Amino acid sequence: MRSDALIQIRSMTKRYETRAKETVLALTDVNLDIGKTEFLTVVGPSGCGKTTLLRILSGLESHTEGTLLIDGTVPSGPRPDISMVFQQATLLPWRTVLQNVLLPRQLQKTMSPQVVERARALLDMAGLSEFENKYPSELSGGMQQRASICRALICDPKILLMDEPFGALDAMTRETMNLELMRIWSAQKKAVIFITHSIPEAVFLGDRVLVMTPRPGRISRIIDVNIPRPRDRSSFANPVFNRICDEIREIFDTQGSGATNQENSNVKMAVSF
Amino acid sequence: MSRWRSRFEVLSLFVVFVIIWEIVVRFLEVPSYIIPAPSLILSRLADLFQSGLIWPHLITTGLTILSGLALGIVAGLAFGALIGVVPPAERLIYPYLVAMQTVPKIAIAPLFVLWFGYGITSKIVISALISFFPVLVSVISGLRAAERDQMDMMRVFGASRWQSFLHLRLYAALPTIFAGIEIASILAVIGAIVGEFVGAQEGLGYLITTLNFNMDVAGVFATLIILSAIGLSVHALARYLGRRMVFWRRADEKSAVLSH
Repeated sequence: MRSDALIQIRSMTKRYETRAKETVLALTDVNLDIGKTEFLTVVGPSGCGKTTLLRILSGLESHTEGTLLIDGTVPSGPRPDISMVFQQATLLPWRTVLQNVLLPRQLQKTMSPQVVERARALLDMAGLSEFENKYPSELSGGMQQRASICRALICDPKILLMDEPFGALDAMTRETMNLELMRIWSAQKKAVIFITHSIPEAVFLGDRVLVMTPRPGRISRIIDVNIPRPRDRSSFANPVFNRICDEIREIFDTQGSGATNQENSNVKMAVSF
Repeated sequence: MSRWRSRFEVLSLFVVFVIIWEIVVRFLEVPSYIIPAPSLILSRLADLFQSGLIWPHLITTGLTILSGLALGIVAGLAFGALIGVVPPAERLIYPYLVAMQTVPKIAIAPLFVLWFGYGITSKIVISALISFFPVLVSVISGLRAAERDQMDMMRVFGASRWQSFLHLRLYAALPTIFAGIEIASILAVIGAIVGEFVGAQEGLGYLITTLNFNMDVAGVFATLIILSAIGLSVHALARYLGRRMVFWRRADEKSAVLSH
């Protein structure tokens, strides 16, 4: 048990009922503590319940059994101190980049000149200050996703949920985005829960890697990543990096699912294009 | 290919077609009450305007189309929004609307003339009814066009149902709605003319039946030209407004009319 836990999950289970009235166990017996400034990455093949876990934390869905405490309270639906970055940038095409970043504040009716200044500062940090009056369609995929990260940060959330945010980007952009995200996170540390299909991405970003396996979705292992911060390109060359990557691959191999070795995650990326 | 060159080619094709028509009609001595030569149609068209005969008909039909279209759009938007926002309304009303849509509006046009008289009102009602459905259907399907991810995004950031409607679903619906309005703009013209065919004292539809009765086929063709000019203008207006409103969409998308 960590003393600085911001999120506490105990024996959490999630069941779905399909249209055919069959019960599907999406998550079973999840126990997890997440620290206030922790960067937690989650890897696992499709159907391991990682997206379900994120949707429950975001308040979009509720769990079936067990307890969930966020900042000491039982959550009931979405809350302003939790933000999310989706796989698609989900920017609204009829709003400029700045208007998109300000959207959460507008919805929560907490707009002010200071908030607009903060939005500009965030865009500046993401290297988008020249694009604040452009529309999303005028931006590249990587820029759109950076704008959506700015949008997620505009409410100064305590928790940032990221659902394969770079999954739809090409490999080169993806690597740059990982470095960018590290920089942004070092500047304002928050609890980040980051889902990915890519084992190297999970190891590079995370303080801990949550390895999940499917049928039923559950936590298989939690691995501490002892690679010093700040991390940069040289971290990839750290022997610890490769050792942990191999360790995770072995888990999936022995599980027999094997769905999250590098080849397969590339296939998934291709499909998601 | 440049835009102007493409336009030039389209126009050239038309000119070639008209010239061949003229030659064939003259060469084969086709009687003008069967197929008139383009030159004759053109001179009848000029006559219609010079004599001033056309104006009352043109104004009546123009007014009918615009009022019918406006009414059809307003009703389509209102019912569509109701069905899109209040799900039980869809369950209750939609089957009736579909049933109504399967009735050919042209077949019930005589009824409307019976109910609303030989004046302009019956034609406006027919025109409105016929343009109502494409708008209605486009509003209903448009309000479902928002992606699931975008709906989730709105919820995560604390949007209420009303805020999701106002900031997301409404905008996401606009491209579809304007496609529906484009189709309605063409149907409104058809509705007005059908109404005038059935029974009227004025209007371009009435003029066509009269000219046809007098075997003035060149005059009928001339009126058809005016009609299609009206149809094209109304459609162009709808398309222009659509593009202005849906500015974030690519400009090179094709008109919705032919795909329907």
